[in-house]
Amino acid sequence: MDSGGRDRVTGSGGRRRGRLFERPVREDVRRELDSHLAMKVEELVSRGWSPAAALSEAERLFGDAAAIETECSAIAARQRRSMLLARWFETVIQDVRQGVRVLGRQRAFTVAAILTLGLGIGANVAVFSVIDSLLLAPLPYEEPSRLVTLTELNEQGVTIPVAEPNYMDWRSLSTSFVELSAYRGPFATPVLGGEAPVRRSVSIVTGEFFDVMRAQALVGRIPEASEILAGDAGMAVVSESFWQSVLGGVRDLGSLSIEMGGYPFPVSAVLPARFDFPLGTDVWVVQYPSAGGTRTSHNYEVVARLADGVTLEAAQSEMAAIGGRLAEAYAGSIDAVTVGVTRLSDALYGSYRTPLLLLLGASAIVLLVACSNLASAVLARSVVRRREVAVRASLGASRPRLLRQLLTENLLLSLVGGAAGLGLAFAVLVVLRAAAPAQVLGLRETSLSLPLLMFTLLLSVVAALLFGLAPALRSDDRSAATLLRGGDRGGTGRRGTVWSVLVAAEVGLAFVLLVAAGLLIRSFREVISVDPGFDSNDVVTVNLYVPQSMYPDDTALIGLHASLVPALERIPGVTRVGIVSHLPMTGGVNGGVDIEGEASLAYGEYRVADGGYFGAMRIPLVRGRLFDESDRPGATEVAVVDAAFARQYFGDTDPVGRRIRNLRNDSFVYGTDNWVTIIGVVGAVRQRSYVQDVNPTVYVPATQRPWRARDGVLTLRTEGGAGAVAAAVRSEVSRLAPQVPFEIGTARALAGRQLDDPRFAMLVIGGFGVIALALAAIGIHGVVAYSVERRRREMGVRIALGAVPQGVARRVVRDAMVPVVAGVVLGLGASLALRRFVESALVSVGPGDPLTLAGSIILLTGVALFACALPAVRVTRIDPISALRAE
Amino acid sequence: MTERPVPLLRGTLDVMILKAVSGGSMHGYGVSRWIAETTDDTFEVQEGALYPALRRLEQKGLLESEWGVTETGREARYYTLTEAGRAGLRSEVRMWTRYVEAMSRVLRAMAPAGGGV
Repeated sequence: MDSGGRDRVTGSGGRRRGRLFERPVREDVRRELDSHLAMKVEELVSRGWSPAAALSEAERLFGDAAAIETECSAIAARQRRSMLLARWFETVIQDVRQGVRVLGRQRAFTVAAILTLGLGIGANVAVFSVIDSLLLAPLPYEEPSRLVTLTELNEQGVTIPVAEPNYMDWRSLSTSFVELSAYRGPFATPVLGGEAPVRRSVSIVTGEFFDVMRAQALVGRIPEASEILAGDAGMAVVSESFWQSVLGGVRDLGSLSIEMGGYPFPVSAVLPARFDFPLGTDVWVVQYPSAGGTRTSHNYEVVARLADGVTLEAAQSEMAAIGGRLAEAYAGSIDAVTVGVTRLSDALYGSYRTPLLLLLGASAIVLLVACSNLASAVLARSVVRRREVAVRASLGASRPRLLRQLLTENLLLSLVGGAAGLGLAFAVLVVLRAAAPAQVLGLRETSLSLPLLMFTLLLSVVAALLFGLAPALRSDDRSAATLLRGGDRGGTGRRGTVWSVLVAAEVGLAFVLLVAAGLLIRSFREVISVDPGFDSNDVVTVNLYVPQSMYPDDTALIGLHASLVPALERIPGVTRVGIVSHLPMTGGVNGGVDIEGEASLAYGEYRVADGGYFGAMRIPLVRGRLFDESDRPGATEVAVVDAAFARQYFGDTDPVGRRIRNLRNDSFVYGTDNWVTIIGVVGAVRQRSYVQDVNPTVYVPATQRPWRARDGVLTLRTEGGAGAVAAAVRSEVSRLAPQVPFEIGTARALAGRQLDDPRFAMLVIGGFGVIALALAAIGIHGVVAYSVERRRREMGVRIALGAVPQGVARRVVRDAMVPVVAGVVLGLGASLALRRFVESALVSVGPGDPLTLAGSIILLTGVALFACALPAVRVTRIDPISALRAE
Repeated sequence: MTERPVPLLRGTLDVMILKAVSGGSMHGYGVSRWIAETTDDTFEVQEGALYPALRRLEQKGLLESEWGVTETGREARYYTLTEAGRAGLRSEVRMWTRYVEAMSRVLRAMAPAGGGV
């Protein structure tokens, strides 16, 4: 080994630190060991050894050089790694410190940037958290992906509930499932047996239901399917909240029994709160299926668990085949043609996917606008800071180091903004939960989940990169030396171009949101401007849930109504009281009607009411009379029809005195098929929807069909609204009907529930639109203000040379509006391209609605003009002399 | 030099290295010569074994190193004691002094009379 001559260190005189790190570790170690051997050889030679003998003696004394070299290299490599890490960490801390200092110096910018980011990120986090809880989080049941729902489909391909005989055949014919269960509900039902009578959501399920769901009881024991016998009333399983609030949380379930529909049910088990299926159920009645339905009475939903190794597709094809075989075998008495199998999670929340993704799109736009806004602000700042940057560059900071410093600042801003956004999102969610009824959005409890935190972090980093991009791109185009010389005078050039693009992007994005919001507002106005045919203002409602055991027959119900109505009418502030089976917009029954002397079947909505109902709801009497005391049970059976029914089936002739019969649902309940005489015509009412056609309606008197008004609604026309009379109403109802659960509300709220969805969409998208508009305006203002500031001198010169200040200001505005107009054009194109996404949410307004588009253009252009004009006005105040002196 | 070298006890090499460089920076060869001279070659130690020990002490932060040139113009890595190294050496010296004193008292003492159990 000739170690003496080779490996001479170049420039070895400098004992500089840091040299160490520029040589590979192993090379460094080898040199050291070689140097040892060389010195040893030198020593031995000086003591008289021959060079060859000296070398081999030195190597012998040294030991296993290769092993030592390896060992030393490993140690040194470890050390180098930890030193590099420490150094990197040190510079990160330096960067962060420096960033905090810089941001702290420019407090106004920092606060504005954090707020902007907070808004943008917050909007996204809020939407994402809803998506996370509805669409991404698995259902809280064992192996939820194996849970499916089964439905029937009719010839039109419409999904319909399941007829019981078909369900029984599915059970015996299918092999794809571990278990199937049929259920109905939940239905609002009076429940007795607790501390007070209450009305709760009750679902009827077959014995296999809890096997399918693999439910575990919190208290008690879930009954086995084999314990549920045909003919028994069944057993009750209750939710944790029902157990706590109604049953007082008694652990000894054996002592508990609740009563529903006149039957007692032993309470066998309590389910934990997370078990929420069918959604909102308080009590599950486990019952043997009520054998004997027809194949056209579709009363059940079916849930099933896929067997191991069976895919959804396999189950789908098996069930389609079974459905086809049944349709063939029972042709004529079956109306379903096939069977659909859907994953339970899709069946429950699939319909939220599109609206939620729309919302996510809208919030993403807000964030993009926020980022473009910040990008232009950061760009402006980077020009202001170019001297500082240039000084640091000349002091030896490399370009990557400088970029890293800028990136660190952006990340700092973004992370703080993200944290602010997270807080904002939670505040918004609290408001949303209060504003949106649970059934509208299905908002579950939202908490700080890991996916949510990751999403926030990701957004913050992406945002930092987005708004940091523009200045980073720019800092490539000039060397430090040029920057140091300073004197960038024009607001034009490459920076101007980047700005124009940013402004155009902001404006375009904001425009898309404004159009969407405008369309939703227009659509909502259309909906609420429709005359529904009734007046729900100041109408207080009392929903009754009359237990069958307390009021077992017509006489008892008539007695109840006869005592309540006049008592309530006596309350000061109440002017008219009536009862109806279903308020408009809250469901109801309908069916075919025979008209005496007409061959074809009429079709109508079917409501039970008394005379007072029409008065209370201000539904006008058009002809004939309303129901009164003479319409007793046993007297001539009568009906009132509405103007729509009269027009459709009697044309110009007078329906009063004509007779109808076979009110289908009626004969099903009463088994009678008497002719019923029409005694009056009332104004047409939209029973089902504000946007669909008026529904022809037949009203029959509560005194002759009290059974149908059992769970009816008392309607109280008041002078001052609910607040003034609620207490008196409550005490009267409790006094006269102590065993009847009831709820006091307003007709406006009940009938207006249908408007919650469009109102909610309008508010959220509208809110996003306003935020985007404000951000765009701030962005435009900032860019123009900055360019006016930069060009002070140039403008001063022009004014000194005789230019009219107003003219210069106009030019500033004109220049600034070019990208705005470009943005509007882009936004217009984008809105038209994206129109099919909002189409589904619109009523009687086309997605290309010219009024909305024109309105958005005017609004956006107006706001942009204002944002430009504010700083432009300053031009007119430029004093040419001081402007020229300034530099 | 007439006696056979004794095997090195664990940990002693580290103390000797620290002690060697406590007077000023030194390269590995210098350390090995200083140990051999100071101990009259008492310890049986391969010269190469010094280097992993040096590297380990450096990793622990007790030593610092840098390349330099010897008086004969040869490049060599010089090791210097850090502040932490100096403190480490002091406590090692105290420990070893007590150890050696105790050992020599034991070795000089009269053995207790046999018997007992």
